[in-house]
Amino acid sequence: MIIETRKLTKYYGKVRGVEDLDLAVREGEVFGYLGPNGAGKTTTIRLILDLIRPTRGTALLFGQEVRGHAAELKARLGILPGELALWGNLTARDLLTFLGNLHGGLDWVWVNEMAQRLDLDLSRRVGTFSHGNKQKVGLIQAFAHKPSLLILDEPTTGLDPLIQQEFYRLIDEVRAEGRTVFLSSHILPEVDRVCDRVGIIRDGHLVAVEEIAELKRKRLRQMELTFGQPVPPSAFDLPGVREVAKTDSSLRFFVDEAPGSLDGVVKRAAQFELLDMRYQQATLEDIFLTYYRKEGPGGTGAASADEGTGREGDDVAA
Amino acid sequence: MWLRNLFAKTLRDLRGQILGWGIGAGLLGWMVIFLYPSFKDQTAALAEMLKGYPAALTGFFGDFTRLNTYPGWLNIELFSYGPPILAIFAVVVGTGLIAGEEEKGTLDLLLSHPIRRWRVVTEKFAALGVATLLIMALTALFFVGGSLMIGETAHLGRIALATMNIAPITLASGALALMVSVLFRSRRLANLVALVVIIGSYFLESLGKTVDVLDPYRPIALYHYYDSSAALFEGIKWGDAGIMLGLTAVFFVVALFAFQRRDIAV
Repeated sequence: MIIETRKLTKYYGKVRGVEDLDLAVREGEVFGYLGPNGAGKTTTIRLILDLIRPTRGTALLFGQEVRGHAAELKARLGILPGELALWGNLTARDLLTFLGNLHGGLDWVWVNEMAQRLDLDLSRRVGTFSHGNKQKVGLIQAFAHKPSLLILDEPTTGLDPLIQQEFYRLIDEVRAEGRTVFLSSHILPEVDRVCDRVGIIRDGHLVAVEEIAELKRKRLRQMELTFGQPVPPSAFDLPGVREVAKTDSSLRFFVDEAPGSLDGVVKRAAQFELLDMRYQQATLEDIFLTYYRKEGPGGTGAASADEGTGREGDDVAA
Repeated sequence: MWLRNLFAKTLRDLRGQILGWGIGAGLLGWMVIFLYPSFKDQTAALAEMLKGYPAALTGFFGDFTRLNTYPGWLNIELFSYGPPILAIFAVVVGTGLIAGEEEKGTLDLLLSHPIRRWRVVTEKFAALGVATLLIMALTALFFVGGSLMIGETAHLGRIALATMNIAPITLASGALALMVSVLFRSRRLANLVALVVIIGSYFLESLGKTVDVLDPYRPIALYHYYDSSAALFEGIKWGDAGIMLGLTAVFFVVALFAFQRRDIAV
């Protein structure tokens, strides 16, 4: 395993950071670490990087315990910290020179190529940069020495859509070279686009690890049925049906693709006066929300998930 | 070359401070030095007058008995109160080394690269040490130059050494600031604590010379081990300088261990 955590747990005083995290990232894969803001993504990354120390449990990189070996291990890592802060008094080129020197030098041909692809002027002082341009500096310093493992905390924050696409291509190249990427995100389509597997974290717990392909196989159909009479949601308490919601005279819910699920829904619907029936493929976002929504009626899970989608909107607009 | 390693980069970041404090202290020195010729004739009378003052007052402001000499004049007007002012430099820079970068968030970026935590503390503190020496050297140049300009050529070596003698206590102040900033994490709190300790110890030593109640506690004051009068007249007390450097080492090592163990704040 390239990254492995065993019962990794962090409390900040009494506040839960992450709890009993068992992660395993394989060599050569692009692993998406997905969860709403505040779920514990950055805490996990900072634990793996030995910036903070676990309350209990261990983190391993390349099979070696991080604690006590962080500096050697980091020679093989490219890291983009979350909420990136840079030395504003340096030009981008000077900043990259300095960080490159910590690795014993820099491949300027490659750095200049990245700067061109990401459309960044290296001669300007970092302090004058927009959020997005600072993020580009952060990406370049992470990719600069062609590390065998990239750990990127919310890498596309502040990047405009064209640059995001270029970033995805950079990730594709890393994958093609057999190197490993661990990236955190609260944006599902991004994870969908670049990752092979996804780990979903919620409230400090790893709730699921799935192949992206598998997640897509868990496709759901979203149905909206409109009736001529009031129909209680409990009428559709059927196998394969999830999240029944009532709006006026309609019911909305998700149906999975297991054999019999749809059949049951149609037969139950036939018992009432059916006025309209709409039917569509659910997005990955919906699948995510449906499978990993916090237990309990109207739980905070829905709220934090909404926050996630809200941020995505901002990112697209930015 | 200023980006070759963290030491060089930190020194580069301090270049404004080095020039500012070095030239600032130098110009202050010139003011005092250039006033000397017009005071020279009156110093004897002034010293006579001060004999009538309470010992507590003269003790606090320094060694007035030698005011009728050029080094005595410099001692009262510069060397006795110079270090507490330079302590501001040492504290502000000392707390900034780690806690400053931590609060800005750049420490996460730095530690994302292959550099050990102890090296971060060591290279940064080494830069503070070199910056302190450069400031004192620059100041000494001004002092010696100013003395030459007014024709006081008798004590140049002493003056230069006495200026460099400010470095050990400044280093100890910087190390203290570094240590509290690593222990308390908050730069503001660290500034406050370090300055209270340093200024408090200055007052303890100055007042303790004449206030009997305080006298037994003088040895715990940093400034008990800074004797500008001796540096100017008899030569540097190397034992005192050694104590200061020893304290510097203790503060530094505590900072090193504390930083090695703790979480980096977000």
